[in-house]
Amino acid sequence: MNLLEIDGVVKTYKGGVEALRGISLRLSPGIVGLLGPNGAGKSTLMRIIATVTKPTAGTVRWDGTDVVKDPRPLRAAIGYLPQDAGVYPHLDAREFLDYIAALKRLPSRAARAQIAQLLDDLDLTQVANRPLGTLSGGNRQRVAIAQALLGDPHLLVVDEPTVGLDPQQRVRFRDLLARLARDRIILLSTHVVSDVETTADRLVVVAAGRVVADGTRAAVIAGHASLEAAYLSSVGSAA
Amino acid sequence: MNAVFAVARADFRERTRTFTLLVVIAALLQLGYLWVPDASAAYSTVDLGGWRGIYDSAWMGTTTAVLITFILPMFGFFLVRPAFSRDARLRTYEIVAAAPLARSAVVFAKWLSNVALLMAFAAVLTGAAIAMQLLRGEDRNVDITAYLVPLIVAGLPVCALTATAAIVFSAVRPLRGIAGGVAWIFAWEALLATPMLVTHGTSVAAVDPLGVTALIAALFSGLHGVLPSANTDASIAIGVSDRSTHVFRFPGVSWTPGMVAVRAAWLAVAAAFAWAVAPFGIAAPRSIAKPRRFAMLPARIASRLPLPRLTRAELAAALGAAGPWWLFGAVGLAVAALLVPAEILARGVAPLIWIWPVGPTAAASVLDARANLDGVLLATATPTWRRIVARWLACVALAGLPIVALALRAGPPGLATIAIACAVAAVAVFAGTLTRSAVAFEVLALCVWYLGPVNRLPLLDPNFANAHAAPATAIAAALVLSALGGAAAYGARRS
Repeated sequence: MNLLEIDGVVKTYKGGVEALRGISLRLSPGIVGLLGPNGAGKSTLMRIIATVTKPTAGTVRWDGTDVVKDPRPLRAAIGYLPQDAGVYPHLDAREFLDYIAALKRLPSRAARAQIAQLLDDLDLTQVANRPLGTLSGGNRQRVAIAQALLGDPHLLVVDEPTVGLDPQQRVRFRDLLARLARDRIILLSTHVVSDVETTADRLVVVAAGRVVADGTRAAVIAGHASLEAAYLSSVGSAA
Repeated sequence: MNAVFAVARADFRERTRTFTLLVVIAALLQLGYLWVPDASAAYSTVDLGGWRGIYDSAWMGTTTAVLITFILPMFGFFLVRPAFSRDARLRTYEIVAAAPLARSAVVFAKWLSNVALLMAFAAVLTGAAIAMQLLRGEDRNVDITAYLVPLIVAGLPVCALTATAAIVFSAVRPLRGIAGGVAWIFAWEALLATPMLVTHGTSVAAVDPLGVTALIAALFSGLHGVLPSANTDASIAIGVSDRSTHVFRFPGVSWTPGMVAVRAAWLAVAAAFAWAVAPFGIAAPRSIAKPRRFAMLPARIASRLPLPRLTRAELAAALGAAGPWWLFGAVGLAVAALLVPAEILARGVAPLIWIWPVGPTAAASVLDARANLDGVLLATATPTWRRIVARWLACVALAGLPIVALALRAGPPGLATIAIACAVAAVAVFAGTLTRSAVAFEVLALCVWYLGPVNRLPLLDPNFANAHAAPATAIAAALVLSALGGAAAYGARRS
């Protein structure tokens, strides 16, 4: 069973802006919903976990390996969807995903099969041969999601994945995540409470660079009328 | 008008807070250093038939104005031209386009920002000149007026005209890409050369928007005032000096009301032209090609090439962006390189072959940054150096077909041609990785192309390299290794 351990992570940007002020989490397989208002530090935390950004202090360990010092084991296991992820506009979905598959070092044959499956899962087959630049924002976001899912990652880090998706696609994406969550860690960052309300096994609320609530949905809601009320209360008390 | 200034100020701030600007300032300071050679140096810059001025404020202020007049329209143009394409790339175009401020006001604000940026570059050169006056120590009395007057009277209209040209070249779609860059190089050459061909007199000012002749005439006038018998063999260039240079005390330029009025008139022309073209000036981002088979042809071809997967994918993305007509042009150049007579090959086809891949190569070097994909790529299992090598190979392949044809025509020494193409691609990847912008490589490549393949400056001319194939190949190989090594080291850095 994979384990992601985040211990005392601090990130201070140039100019003294403190994005994270000592975050500690232990993540095991299942969906973890990372909630927080804009500017709470969610994306910074995601970038640190994805090994794109180094923390100012603290450690991130993947199955015991400090990924700040050696990111390779985690990079071999991660699927990452950053906020505002881009695509190459002149490639079609299949070509773009094949490119990402090559970067993830997937064998060609396995990659082709996975790409076909993902295009089907994400309802992209009909537009798979069109240049990505001609696709709607929602379709481009689904291609970006597909690239994160390529390679059957053990750790899936998705930052605001449902931006641009219509309600039907949001439901479909949530179902897909629920299916995938059985044997992997999925960290889903959002400020839309409904995105994680029904799917997440665990909720982590971040505000002003700190964890202000952490537990199962029931534990986080305790004493409040709804998850949204609990979230607003946690965030409000941190402000 | 307040809104126009506010937009200009914001645009100026945005453009001055980049790493690229630091690189430019470093390059300008280096240029300012080279422009004032030590008395024992083996080259001269402003040489008036074997004479130069003592390095005092009058000489330094005037010759810095000469440098600004020569250099800024060339380099500065390429640095300020992306004002609108950057808006498209950063996805702020829609916000700007939807704002209540009139389009023409936005464009005029961009022009003001261009002028301010170019004047900042001119000020850096002037600051470097003051430092060099003190460093060389021939006369340590600094007269700020002797620097500021040429900077404003000679430099400001040049900056304004360059800024206007950048706006025009942004507004006219065919001039936005590398073709516009090539056109501007020849326009710049014409702007400098035309007044030299006109007989001295009042008519010169009308064909000398950059004011080159006025400055050169003032330098010679100063020399003749001191030495009436001095010859008029002027050269203004950095090169190896084969004669001793004598020094004289330059009295400075006597700025007559007529001279100032002419420069002010050109400043007014630049501003008026910028205002006139402003309504047409916003460069809407080009929509991606319709999903027709034809538009997808280059990427489809690349996807089927027997190359390593990463290289193939990088090449497909790069060729997809370049488009089918560019690819047909490359094939046409390759065929021409094999068939045309040697003289036409050397004079016409070879320079075209070297310039043809510059735009797509510059774009390919920053594909991930432009597509906002760098985070995704950095988080994958593939080490950065492999991605860098794949990108470099894709850039080499972009130029490949015509370059190979050119090399075949050269015979065995043509190996140097291929080595140079590999080095150019490596420099593109390095520049793109370092600056996350295509501009640095485009400017560098255009300058080298103009000096080497077009004007046959030996050290930058591929024909010269073919004649010295072994050392040229070794230098190119060293350049490839150092550029790719630098790109891999820098690209692997995490924020």
